[in-house]
Amino acid sequence: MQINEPCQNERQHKDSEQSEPQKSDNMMPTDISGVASVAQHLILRGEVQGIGLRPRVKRWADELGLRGWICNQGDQVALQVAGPAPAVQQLQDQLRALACAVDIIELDHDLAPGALSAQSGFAILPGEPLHVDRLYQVPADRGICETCLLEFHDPADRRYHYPFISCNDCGPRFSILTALPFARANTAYARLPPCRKCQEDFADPANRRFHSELISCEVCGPRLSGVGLADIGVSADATPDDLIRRALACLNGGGIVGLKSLSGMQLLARADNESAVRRLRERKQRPCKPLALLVPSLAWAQRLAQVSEAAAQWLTSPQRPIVLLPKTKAADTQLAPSVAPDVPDLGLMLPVTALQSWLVESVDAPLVCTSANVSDEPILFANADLETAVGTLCDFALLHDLEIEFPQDDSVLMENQGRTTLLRRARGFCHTAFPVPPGETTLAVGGDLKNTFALARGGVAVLGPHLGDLESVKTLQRRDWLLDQFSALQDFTPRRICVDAHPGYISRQQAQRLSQQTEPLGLQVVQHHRAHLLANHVACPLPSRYLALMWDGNGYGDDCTLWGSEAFLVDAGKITRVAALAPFPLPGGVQALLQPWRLALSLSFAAGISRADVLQRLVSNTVTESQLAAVWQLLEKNLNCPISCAMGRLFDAMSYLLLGTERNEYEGHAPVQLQYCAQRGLEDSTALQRDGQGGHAAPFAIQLRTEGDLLVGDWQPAWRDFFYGASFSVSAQNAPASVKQQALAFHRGVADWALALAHRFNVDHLSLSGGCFQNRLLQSLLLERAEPMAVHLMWPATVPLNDGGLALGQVAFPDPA
Amino acid sequence: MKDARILLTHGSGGESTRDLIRQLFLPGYGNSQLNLLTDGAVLTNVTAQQVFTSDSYVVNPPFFPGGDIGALAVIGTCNDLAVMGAVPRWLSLSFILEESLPIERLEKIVQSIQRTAAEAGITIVTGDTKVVERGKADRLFINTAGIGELHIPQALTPARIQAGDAILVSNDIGRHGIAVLASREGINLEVDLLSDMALLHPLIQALLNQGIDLHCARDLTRGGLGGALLELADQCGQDFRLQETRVPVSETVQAACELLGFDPLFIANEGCCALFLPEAQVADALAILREFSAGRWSAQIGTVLGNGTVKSAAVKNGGVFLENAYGVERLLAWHTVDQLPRIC
Ligand SMILES: [Zn+2]
Ligand SMILES: [Zn+2]
Repeated sequence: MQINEPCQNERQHKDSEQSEPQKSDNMMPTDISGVASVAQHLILRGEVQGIGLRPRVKRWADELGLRGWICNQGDQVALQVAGPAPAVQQLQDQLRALACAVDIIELDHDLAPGALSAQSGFAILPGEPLHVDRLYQVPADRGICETCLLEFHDPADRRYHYPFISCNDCGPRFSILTALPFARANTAYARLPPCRKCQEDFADPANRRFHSELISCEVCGPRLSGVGLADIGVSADATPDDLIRRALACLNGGGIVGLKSLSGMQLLARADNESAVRRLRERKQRPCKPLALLVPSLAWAQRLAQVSEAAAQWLTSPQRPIVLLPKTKAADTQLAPSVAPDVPDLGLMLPVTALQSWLVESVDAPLVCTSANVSDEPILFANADLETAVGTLCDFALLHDLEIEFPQDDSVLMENQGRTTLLRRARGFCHTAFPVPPGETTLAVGGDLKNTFALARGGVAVLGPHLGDLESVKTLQRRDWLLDQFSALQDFTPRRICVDAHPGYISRQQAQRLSQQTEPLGLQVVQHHRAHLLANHVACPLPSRYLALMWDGNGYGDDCTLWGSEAFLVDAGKITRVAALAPFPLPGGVQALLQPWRLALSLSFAAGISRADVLQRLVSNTVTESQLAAVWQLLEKNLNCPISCAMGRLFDAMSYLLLGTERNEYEGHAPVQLQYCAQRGLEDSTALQRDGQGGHAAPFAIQLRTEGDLLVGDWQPAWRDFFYGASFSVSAQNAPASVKQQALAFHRGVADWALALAHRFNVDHLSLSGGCFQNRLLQSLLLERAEPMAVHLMWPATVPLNDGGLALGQVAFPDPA
Repeated sequence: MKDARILLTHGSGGESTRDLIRQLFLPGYGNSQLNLLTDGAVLTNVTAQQVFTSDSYVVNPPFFPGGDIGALAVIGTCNDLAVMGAVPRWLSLSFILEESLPIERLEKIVQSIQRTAAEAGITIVTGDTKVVERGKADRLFINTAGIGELHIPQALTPARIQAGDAILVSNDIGRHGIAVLASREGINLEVDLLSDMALLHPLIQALLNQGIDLHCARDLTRGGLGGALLELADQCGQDFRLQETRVPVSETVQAACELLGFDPLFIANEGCCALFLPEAQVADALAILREFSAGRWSAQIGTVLGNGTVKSAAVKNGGVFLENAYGVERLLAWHTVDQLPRIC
């Protein structure tokens, strides 16, 4: 097995906690050859479930001639081993080489010298559940491994074209779990007893499926089925080959195939067929947000995008996430224009299951691959739901009879100069356990957007999978149901509920109601940006003094305004808000967040630019002078103008000023346009520098000003300069050089501000969170500037910087009791 | 009394008070009962069940497009009775006046009260006047109490709402709140927008008289349609589903709400109510309503789903679910006056 998780600071953190096995002081007996013999009881913890640890240890023990046994205890694996001291040490070393999976190897106690002497060889004992006071470690779903894929394509193999092929290294785990520990009886496979042949493989130490819990074959495994419209009906006895042919015909004819994948339903369409992609968008009600692609192979990914080595590792990792990668020029010619319009990146993923691989390799072209749902609703996972969606969401559905217990979307992440940023945390990630300060058993309900929940017990926290926006009733119901699933699996009853401070959050209202139920629970309000800060604190190795920059689009602040450009100084556990941008109004409240032109107007108003200049300068193809005049009235009369200092809104305003992005079609749309434009500016200026020419625009200089205890970032002079100096374009792709340089200068100014704060507070660690730091260009500019200053930029690789990570920070909020 | 202003002595209970009553109120809306100037009114011919309500009116500005605080006080009180299923009969009306209020303005308000009361068929039988120092009240407040008569065996109450009931709205929503706001803030909406102020009992009595089995009605004043439905769902413990696209909103109100960033569902109305009745009678009810100008844009906007159809801790007693054009349902939640944006 190969564990190629590109480890970042988080992993180092865990490593530092890894307790060294204690050396025994006992007198060691010596065997006839004169080598000391030992017997030990060891406990293995970390991601020890569902990775084939027991058969692996058995194989090693046999090779080393050790006696003893190994047993899965749900949360941990226990093993007793006896034999020559060097061999026992060798076994431990081999275990430690698996560091990414086995975090902790603990010597529970030394056994009496003669122990296990009656035992012949090394045995795998049946699993036994163990009750511990912390949350249990759950096994992660793992994308199909290379060996299984080879067997799947080998006509001579017993599992040739068997869609549910898996082994000790791969296959579903968490998504089909009904109880702990991970064992066949505790999964959706419980009702599928292995056939005689599979039983033999299971019992054979030489077989690579020795003790593989989900061992199956076409005789005994789950069944594939298909559902089409009446005219493409599928007979009940259709073979997998028949069904794949149907699905292929559907895809090649421009149709949409619904597929039951590892942890939920997906929709697939040919990515080179514009009308198919448009139909998919129409059906999903997702007009412009970029769509991810399933590609047949790494080679295909490299054709469409620039795949760094780290990105390639993620693409092929067991987590098998969608990885955002810079598009190549060739991508535009190979893909339908509607796949990812006007964005610099493509989201790519490699097949997670044999079935996906089979389909996409047969098509031999990238497929659009997206969660089966209507936009803003949760991912479908029950057969009945996709069956009813045939004709509305998809044209043909490829299903199977394995029940999904923990539905999860595909995870999405970004690689940038060896740094990982997780944008959507779901399949492959949400089993991770985080160490938190011990305290009350706690439930955190997250925020209303990109909602996730988190649980903590006994110093261990888990963060649930991405759910979506809670305003959708179906998402709310899914959240409640999934929380019940988690609670049942973990035998979890909270004593405390942590919640965001926003009074309008549905999650907050829900938490308040929960806290008043039969047994009253403590309700802990955690301010939005402090929750972001704490999430990083839990997931990154940070020193005792550092500065935390929490920059996003909107979070309820202590002063009842909307924060989002916060700098907190953390010193020996004390968190102090030390800096933020100068605040500005949001004219028309929620409308201002949807319409960046209102922000451009508002910043101009706040910066003291005259009405006449504003009306003249900010008019565009879509925003009329009378609209501008009307919103100007709101500002003058201070009518429905909540106050904000959110950095994300500054990006919105600039996106309109430079590019005329008048509407945020999806979250972060305007800032992404600006980033795209600025990246092209960077390419230009590299070229200009090469030719010995200048061409830089002066950066957007945010000025430091002290107001009471707070440092205020005054953006007004810079805004005025840009307002009067900037040229204007209506397209990020074809913007004139001057606009691209200004977009770049804006990003540079924002990066300068971050490092100016680090300098001012004399810290060598900056903890970064909030959606703004998902900006690839901003990350690069920050990394470039931080290095010569010896400032370390810290953000977790496996916790989203957006509100998807909020619940983890909430759950880690110290228990005052 | 031209250019004359209200003085503190007008509220003293002495000669000036009596002058104000005799010269202003009685010529305005006097009647045989009120003219007696007794301490209380004697109500005669009381046979049916009576419905009793009380309300206070504080409007800034007191004169707004399509009405004034006086007409509003009468209409508001009558509508409170109307949605109980009652016919308004008697009204108590008291003023709290700010010192220095121009008497001419008060006179206009009194005339407007008289006209509206006559239209409503309600008799003002008692009242009171107090004057407060400058700065203690914003021009004038009106406090009312109203009594109406029930001609049906049982008042309309949330408890009568049943699963499967249709939810109707009697007219397009949001005009009053936006008209008042625009006039107060001096916002140019480019189109004239008047308050929707209208009496509701003619509509509701017409429905009842023509055999509509009305279960519940609620006027959509403060908090608007959204607020009223959230309150009703909570009171009757049933879930409601609304179809966003079926809620009648005029283009002007829609545009103004978009400009201001408000949700028309939470804007106040003064001539509009929500109605709950059997699905089978929807067409009949709409035909009756549409004969009135205050019912011209009446429409079915949703249905009562029943009890506990959505299991979520976020939904208490009963929830209101708003379905958009694409069939995605969202949970309707209380928006505070300063609706703070949640999205990122
Ligand atoms: Zn495998
Ligand atoms: Zn088998």
